[in-house]
Order: sequence, then C-alpha cells, then structure tokens
Amino acid sequence: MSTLIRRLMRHGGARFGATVTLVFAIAAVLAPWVAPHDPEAMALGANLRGPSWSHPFGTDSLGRDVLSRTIWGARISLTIGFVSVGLAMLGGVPLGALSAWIGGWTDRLLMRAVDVLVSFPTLLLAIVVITIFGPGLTHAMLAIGVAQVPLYARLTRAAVMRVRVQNFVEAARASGAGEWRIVLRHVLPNCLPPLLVQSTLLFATAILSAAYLGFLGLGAQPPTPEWGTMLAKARDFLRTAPHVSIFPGLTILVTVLGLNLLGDGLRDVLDPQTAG
Amino acid sequence: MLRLITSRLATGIPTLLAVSLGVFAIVRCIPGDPARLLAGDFATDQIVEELRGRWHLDDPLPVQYAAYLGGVLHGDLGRSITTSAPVLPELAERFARTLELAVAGIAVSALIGIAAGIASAVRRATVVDYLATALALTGISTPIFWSGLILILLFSVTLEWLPAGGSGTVRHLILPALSLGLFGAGVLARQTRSGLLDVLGQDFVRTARAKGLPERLVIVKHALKNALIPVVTVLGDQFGRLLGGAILTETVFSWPGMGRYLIEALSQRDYPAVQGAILVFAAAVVVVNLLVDLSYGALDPRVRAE
Amino acid sequence: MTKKARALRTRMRRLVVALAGVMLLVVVGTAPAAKDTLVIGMPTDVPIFDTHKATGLHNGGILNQVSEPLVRLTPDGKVIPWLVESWQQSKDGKSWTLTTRKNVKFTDGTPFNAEALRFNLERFRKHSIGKATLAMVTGLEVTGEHTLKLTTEAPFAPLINSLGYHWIVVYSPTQVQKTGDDNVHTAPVGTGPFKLVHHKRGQEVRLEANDQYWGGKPKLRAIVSRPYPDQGARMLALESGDVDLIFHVPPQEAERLAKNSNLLVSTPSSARVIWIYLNVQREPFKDKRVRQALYYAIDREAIVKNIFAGTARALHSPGPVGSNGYTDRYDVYGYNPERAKQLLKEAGAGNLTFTLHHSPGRYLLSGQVVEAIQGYLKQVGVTMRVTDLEWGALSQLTAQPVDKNTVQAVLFGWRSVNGDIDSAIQDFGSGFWRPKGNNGSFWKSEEYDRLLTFEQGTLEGKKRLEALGRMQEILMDEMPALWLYGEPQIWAAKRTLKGVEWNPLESIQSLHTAHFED
Repeated sequence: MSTLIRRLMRHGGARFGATVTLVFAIAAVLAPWVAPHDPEAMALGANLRGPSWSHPFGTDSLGRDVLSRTIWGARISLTIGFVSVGLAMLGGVPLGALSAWIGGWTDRLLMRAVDVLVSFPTLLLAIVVITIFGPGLTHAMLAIGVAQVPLYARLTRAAVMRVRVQNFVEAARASGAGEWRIVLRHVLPNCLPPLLVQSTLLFATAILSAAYLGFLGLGAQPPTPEWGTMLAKARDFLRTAPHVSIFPGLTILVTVLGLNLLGDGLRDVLDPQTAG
Repeated sequence: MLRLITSRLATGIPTLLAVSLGVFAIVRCIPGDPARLLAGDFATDQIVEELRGRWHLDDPLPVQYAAYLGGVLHGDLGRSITTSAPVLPELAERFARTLELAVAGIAVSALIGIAAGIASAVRRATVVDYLATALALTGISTPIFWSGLILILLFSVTLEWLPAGGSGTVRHLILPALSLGLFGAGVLARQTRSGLLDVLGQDFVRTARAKGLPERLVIVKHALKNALIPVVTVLGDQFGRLLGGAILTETVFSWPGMGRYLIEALSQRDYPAVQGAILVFAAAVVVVNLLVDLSYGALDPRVRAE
Repeated sequence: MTKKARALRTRMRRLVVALAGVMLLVVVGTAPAAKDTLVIGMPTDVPIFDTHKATGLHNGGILNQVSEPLVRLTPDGKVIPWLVESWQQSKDGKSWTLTTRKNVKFTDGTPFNAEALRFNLERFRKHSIGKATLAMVTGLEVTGEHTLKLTTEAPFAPLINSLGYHWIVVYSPTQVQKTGDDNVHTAPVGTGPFKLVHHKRGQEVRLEANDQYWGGKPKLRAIVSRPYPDQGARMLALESGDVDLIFHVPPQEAERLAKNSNLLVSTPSSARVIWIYLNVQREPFKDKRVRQALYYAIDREAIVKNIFAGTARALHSPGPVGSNGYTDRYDVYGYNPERAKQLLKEAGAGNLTFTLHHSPGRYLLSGQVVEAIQGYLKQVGVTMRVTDLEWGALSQLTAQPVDKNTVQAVLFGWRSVNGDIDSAIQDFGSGFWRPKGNNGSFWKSEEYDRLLTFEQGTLEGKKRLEALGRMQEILMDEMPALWLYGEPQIWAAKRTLKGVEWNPLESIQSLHTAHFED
C-alpha cells in the first residue's frame, strides 16, 4: 500500500490531483467551520459587490458571501459524488460480474444493452430520470447514479473476464472452493484496481453532471448552494458582476481537473494494462 | 463491406426499437393518468377522451406500444400541449439546428484536438507538449456552460466581437461551437498524442526513418494514418457526448435547437414534446454510432473481415 | 530540422494566418439590418401565433400588429376608439351597444363588421386564458351591420375598459373557417398594420407591412421579433446593433445604457403591481396573523432598492402608487422580523412550510425577488418552497375553483387599467373568486362587498374616496395577498427609432407610425 502511494506521488499530475482532491474533501467535510459566513445570510444592501477582504469571492445578487457558498457547495458536491458513485456501483458491479460469470446468451444480451446505454450522453439519461421523478437534488443524485450503472457493469465484466482466466482462480477451483466463494474472495477483490480508477473519474463526472442539471434548473433548487445552481442565477448578472459566475465555475474546473489527474495517476500506477 | 453493413443494420434496427420502447415507457412511468399527461393538465374532458382513444390508453400495454410505434413510423409524434401543433415538424426544424451546432462542434474538436495532439507528440516532453496536455486536461474538466459564459464575457461583453446569443449567421455559430467542442478537443488531443506516440515508436516507422525518408513523410504517410483509426471512433463517441452537451450550449447561447426545446418542454410539462425530443435524441445517438461503426469498417480492413 | 520540415512549418503558418484572416472578415463584415426593418429582442418566444390562445405579457405587442384590439387604453385611464368606434350604455345599465369602425377590411378582403366582432368575442371566450374578463357578458346580439348589442348580468360601468384588454382581438372569420379553428396560427389574418410572414419557433417571428391598413400605410416594411430569454444576451444584442429595441431591461443596466449616445432608455409608467396571493381557504393561511406575519417579515424597501436599483416602488396599499384613491396610511407594517416571529408563535405556526407558485421570465427579476423572499422568510422560521411553471400552465392551475384549487401562494402581477385604484382592488369582491374573476385568495368580506357596490355605483366624489379608503384599510388588515411593489417598465431602443408608443401594460401599441430617422 505504501509503495503504491509512493509511486503515485512520484507522478507529477497525480500529486497535483491528490492535493486538490484533499483540499476539496477537507473544505467539504469542515464546511461549517471553514466557511467565513453563513451561506444563506442575505444582505440585500451589499449585493453584487466584487471581491474584498471580508468577501474574497464577492457577494451574489442577494448579498450572500460567494466564498462561503462555494465551500458549502463542495459539501454538496462531495455528497453527490459519493451517492451517485455508490448507487452506480451497487447496480453495476453485481450486474457486470454476474453477466461475465454466467456467460452465454445472457451475457451477450446484457452487454449489447449496456453498449447502447453507454453511448448515450449521461445528461440525457439523467434528464429521462428527472422527467419521471421531477427536479431536485435527491432525484439528480439518483439520476446520475442510474446513468452510470452501465459503465460500471461493463467495467466489472471486463475485469472479471480478465481475472477469471488467471491461474489462482483455477487453483482455487481445483482445491474445491464453491463458485460463490471464488467470485467473492478471489475474483472481485482483484477487480478493485480498475474500479477504483474508474470511480475517481466517475466521481468527477458526477459532480459535473450535477452541475449541469443544476444549471438547467433540473437539479438542486435555490437556495441550495450547489455550484451549477449558483451559476444559473449568476448568468443574469454576467456584465455587472462577473465574479459570481467566474469563481464557482473555476472551482468546478479545478475540482474536476484534480479528480481527473488523480484518476489518471491511479490508472498509471494500479492498472497499467488499460493505461494509455 | 456489404456483410458489415447488413450485420450492423441487423443489430441497429432492434436497438432503435428498444429505444422506442424505452421512450414509450417513460411517460407511462410518470405518476398520473397518461391521457391527462399527454393532453395537458387542463384540456377539456373531450380532448382527453379523444387522446385516450387515439393512443389506445385503456388497452393493455402491448397494444398501447403498437399504437405508439405505429404513430412514430407514420411521423405522428402527437401534438404539443403548448403550441397545439404537431410535434414532429417542429422537432425536425430544431434537430437541424442542433445538427448544425454539433457538426460545427466536431469540426472545432477535430481541428484543435488533432492539431494539438500532433504538436504534442512530435514535440514530446517540450513546453509545447506540456502546454497542449494542460489545455487538453482543462478542456475535459471545464463545465460546458461555464466555458460558454466565459467566452461570452470575453468576446461579447469585453471585446464586443461576437454576439452573445441567437442564431442566423456564421458569427452566431462561432462561440457556441467553440464552447461545445472544447471537451472533444481535449479528448482528441490526448487520444491523438498517445496514438501517435505509440505508432511513432513502432518498428516500421523506425525503418522508414532509417531509410532516410523525410520526417514529414514519416508522420503523414505512415504514422498518422494508423494513429487516426482509433481517433475516428473517438470522434463518433464524442458525437453522442456532443448531443448531450448541445443541451447546455443551446441554453447558454439561446440557440434554437432540440436541446433547448427539450428543456423548455420539460419546464412546461409538455409531455408529448418531451417524449418526442427524447426519442429523436436517442435515435440520433444510435444512428450516429451505427455510421461510425460503418466508417470504422471502411477505414480499417481488419474490421471488415469480421 | 530538415529543410522539408521547415517548409511544412512555413506552410502551416501561412494557413493559420489565412484562417485568422477569414475569421476576422466573418466577424467584422456582417452588414447591419436595412433601416426599414425593425428588429425587436423579446424576453420570451410567442408560443402560438393566435392571440386568443397565446400567453406571454410582451408577446401581445407583437401578436397585435396582425390582430387588433377593440379600443386603446392610455395610462391615465382614457379610452380611445380603435376598431370599436363608439359605445353606449343602455338606461338600465345592463346592455351596451358597440358601433364598429366602418371601411375596415381584413387583409384577405373580408369586411370587418358587427358579425365579425361577435364571432371573435365568442372565440375569445372559448379559448383565452383571460376569458374571465368577459365573464359578466351574458349575450351578444348583432343589431345592424355595424352595431353589436352586449348584455351583462348586472350593470357594469367599466365594461369598455375591459374591452380594451389587448388579448381581445379580431381575426377574419372567413380565414378561421378556412384553416379550421385549431390552425389559425398557421395563417392568421387580421386587420392590423402588419401581416405574418413566418413564425420559426425559438428563432423569430417575421411580419411584413400591410399597405392597405385602415390607419395608413406603415412606414416600416418589416418587423422581426427574436426571443432572447437571457437578459444579458438581449442587452448585448441591442448594444451591438443586432436588434433595435428590447423589452425588460434589467434596472442595474438602465443607467449604463442611458449613457450610450446611440440608445434611448424609456421608463413609461407602469400600471402593474406585483402581489403574492395567499389562499385563505387553505392551511396555513386561514389565520390572518400568519398572513400579517409574512408581510412583516419581508423588507419591501430593500427589495426595491437593491434588486431593482430603485426603479420599482414599494407598495403601501394594494393599488399602484399615484392611482386615484390610493392611500398609504394603512401600511402599519414596515420591516419587522421580530413582530413576524411573535405573530407566528401566537398563531401556533412556529415552523411553517408552504409552496409558492411562480412563473419565471414573466415579471421583471421576479426570480431574484422570490429568492430574496425565501431568505427573509427563512429568517423568521418559515420555509417557502418554490414551484416554477410556465405561464400557461400556471394560469390554468390557478384558475381552478375554490374546492379544487390546491395552490397555497402564487406570485401574480395585477394592473389598474384606468388610473383608478378601483380596477386594482375590485377583484377582492366575493363575486370575483376564480375562475369568474381574479380573486386568487378566495377571500371575502360582507363589508367589503357592500363598499365595492357602493363605490362602483356612486358619483359622489368624496363619499367614494372614503369608501375606497376603508376598502384599502380592510385589505391591509386582512392581508389576503402580500402587496409587494409596483413594477417598472424599462425599454431601450436605438435613438433613431421614432413613432413607437408604449402601453402601460408592458406592450407596444400599433407600429404603423414607427420608423427610423436618419
């Protein structure tokens, strides 16, 4: 494990990515203590002010502190990431593993369906879920999770296919271990590296997708300080107060960038077979 | 080649059918009476009953689906609640606009992405490489709507060179296409770079170099052609992504495409329009993937032999 | 680097320069629109080019270049004859005789007459969301080529003002029969100064001049209207010259635009007031104290000062500031969150939650106002959820009768059409509960009803003012709606554009006199 981390840290991009991710996580978890102001405290008289000492990111149209809202937004994005990725794994991993293990017609049919679903843009799939359930943050997390299930299914299947033909699996089978045991104790744990890599990258996609839904008014609703929702409102003031649009957007960029770099680094270190 | 076409069509058609089934299921999953949903919450009872009869909404699901599919094949996607006009003609017009934007977006992705990728690979480990890689990474990490807003801020508000929205002239297409194509440019840059580096390291290239062939010839004739094959698939993948991204770009730039139509229809609870838009979107993705598959076959003889 | 590679590099450089040059040409070289075409930037698209079926505040101005209303209203309450030339109320007050203007033809040659008027009034009452405006009309009878008799349930003095509602328009009956009632929007034929060329949804509406217009040949040859839902884009379009006139200028920008020597910013007086109706027949608004608490909790002055940059006016009475009969002396409220919390506690509504319905884009900056109110209410322990709906859906939802109406609160704009506060507050009479009238709060009071009948029937100035004052006192105490602010109307256009008249209901009048001066 420690060699892993050491190898990861030698990778320049991963170093940056890990740092950014860490900052994001700390800000998210410690939001109530780190944020300088109450994210919902309105001060209409001081609205749309540019960056200043008391408000490093300025204030928005209702006088709320943009920095505090951005920090609390990190909290929301962290939740979104974990819930969506968790849901997607819950649905996709068993599906992919089963498909690979059973094989035959079931496998072919399932993978055909997965291939088709993967080709659809995540946003479209998420919008379909929102159409049925209505807008809102919880529905957005559900929508994104569901949209990512096919990806995990495909990934797990590929990993399982790779692992099942390896020697130690044959050895386990020869020693009389039951099918379930083999899958759970030998196969799946060895599938973890690609899953970990992908989860990091999909965490980033989840945050981005939630921001997209928020921006379109289909995700988190005001006054929730989700980054995308904040930007939707900021649009009206692009000329008079561009800082309200610039800072949250920049934050999304840096966070997603960090996660992508971390994922890339993890891929190079853990799973060189699929690395570029 | 013919075998490839027929085999792909054989899988494509059931896929399209599955898509239509999926879209049909969406409205049935929404809580409420489907007849009311399709007629508009406050249409007269007479209209609601008419729709119920027309789409067989009282009959078992397979019959309903058959009616829906029949409608789709005849070009009847129902009537929009907001405009009382048939959905399909409106959608067709909007789809053309989105296609315009998507093609422009792909062009931007391809031009910038491939050029950056080549520069990166050829000037490996230099400033050019690092810069291009950084830009590529930024491209895939930037939220589409944010890049749109920044472009507006820069080119419309500050410099006043380009319009901030609307459509009609080439000028109106530039910023949306740039914003849309940024992500794809990033992906393509990375793909081209790694593909080219792989190929450049291979034997036949070293042989060509050893033979004394000029660098340009080496790159263009041998390396690029081989490296570009996976790039075509990536382009095809990107098109699906681009259609999704178009939803956002059209909102930011008020571009009159299908994406905006879908979002507006959703906010108006105009379910026939929503259903139609999702169907067209999904079908477009499937068709494009089919075409990419076929072109892949055309480019790479190994695939044709399948 | 080899010679060949260097040559390649030079060639690439030249290509890049050429591409940049082409791009520059494209960017710089697009010609401005011809000076006899007016391009308008609208906040919303016309949903359907049929005035009896369409919605959208500002779209009326565009739609009515083709289909004309019956009379024109001025900000101070005067009624100007338009397609209806004169009107006469009968002695018993229960019927009106309308005389239509002579020698007016629809653009398809059909003559405009009393029968055409009757046909269109019926059509309006069948389709329009605003049909309640004519709810009191019980009979329409053609009594001559150009005379129509209208009978009402009870004497209704302001009838002619109601007829000025600009969604009541006329289309050629011949054409309606030809296209079918469902498809009038594909080829609408009216009497207006312009004809519809095409309506590309989401893109533009194009109109061309009707040279046979009864009011004189229009100076403009064409009008193009384009939707720019994003207000930033709308302003940029005006500043860059892409459009000549825009609606709904954000107040913060008004000052900046006014400094531009090529532009003219106009703030004609608006008769529109913004309220939040509270449904008093449902929890939690049955208790008067809850309603009053909400009013204490909202800082109207701050909203007006900061969201509207001072261009709006806080309301201290239900009606528009400055209207006849207006008084502010019953506004005892002011911004008092402590009192609000107290009242809520008294009423046992400590942790209240309710839903507000709202239609984004319809009223200037209403989204920001709603968010601000959410914040203010949060401060006193009230959670306000917001449901955004498109206007057509919202008006249908709120038009449900009291037993079916599920709406708790809705943001609504109302207007006084004749400069008198009566037309703003008359709808609080019990006879005007939705869907008959616009009383979305389903509130009633016997005293109020008595006062209303009295003031509408009396000619005694002083007594009438007293009655109106008492009515405002009742409304300010009972608070069936939260009286927020009077909305500004801010327009901006190129200075060279002349001859455009605004109407106090945020719409433009007939554009046959509009033209560009050099």
